[in-house]
Amino acid sequence: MTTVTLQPTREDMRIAYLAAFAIMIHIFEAAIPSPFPGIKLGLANVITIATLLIFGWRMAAWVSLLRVLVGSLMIGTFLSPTFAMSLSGAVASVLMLGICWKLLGHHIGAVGYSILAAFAHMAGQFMTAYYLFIPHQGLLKLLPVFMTLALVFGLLSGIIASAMIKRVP
Amino acid sequence: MKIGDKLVLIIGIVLVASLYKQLWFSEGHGDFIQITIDAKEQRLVSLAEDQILKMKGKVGISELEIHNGKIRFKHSPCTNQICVHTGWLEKGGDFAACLPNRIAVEVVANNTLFDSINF
Repeated sequence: MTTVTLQPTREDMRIAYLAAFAIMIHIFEAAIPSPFPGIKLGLANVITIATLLIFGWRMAAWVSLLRVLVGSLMIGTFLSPTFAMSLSGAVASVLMLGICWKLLGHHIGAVGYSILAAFAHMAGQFMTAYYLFIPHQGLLKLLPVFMTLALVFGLLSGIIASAMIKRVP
Repeated sequence: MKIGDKLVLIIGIVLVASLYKQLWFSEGHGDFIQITIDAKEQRLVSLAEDQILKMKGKVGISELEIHNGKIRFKHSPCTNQICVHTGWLEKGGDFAACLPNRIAVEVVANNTLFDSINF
């Protein structure tokens, strides 16, 4: 019998490190009750944005998707509707970041990427909610409110991310 | 903030504002007419744009006119012309029918005048 040892690369370690950060924030945030049900700040996305700007899109995608997977396992929402919402939001925002990163690169900073990601996140979640859970016209009335919150929260976490990036040597 | 960030922010604000306009304040939104032909074929048509619909029924072609969010039978091939004399329909639940031609028109809206009507 032969044993195969996988030697983690520097990049693997870095992904794990950053994902752990994001997961920590994710869990911490899940513990704080929200004044509006179903709406949270999404502070874990700060890590995704910072990763994107420092290490590029591939790593940001890893960090974001690992965060959703491991975070849901830790909280206990894995494969639940909450997980479907969380995953669809993360996938949408990662795709959005990928496209914009390819097209615009460093022409946009943390704040811009954060807003873009927040919009995509909300749109992805909303589509999942609409097609999978509540296919009712009335839900569309809530879309502007959700998008307003996405804009505000995206702006906030973008400002936090840009402050964070400045402190990274 | 970079210029790109500010641009994204401005585009975002415009997008959100247009969403409010589209989904909260758009006029005539959600107001439709339901056309029933021969008690089975149903069509939903928006009242938002002015147009003349030609519907083929049992005895001929009925002309329906949509104007300013209202609808009426403009011309009908039937003999008694009750449908034409019904006039304009605009409120949710308003109803007109041409029995000889087997065409019925009902305004469908979010807030109807009556919850339900029995005949």
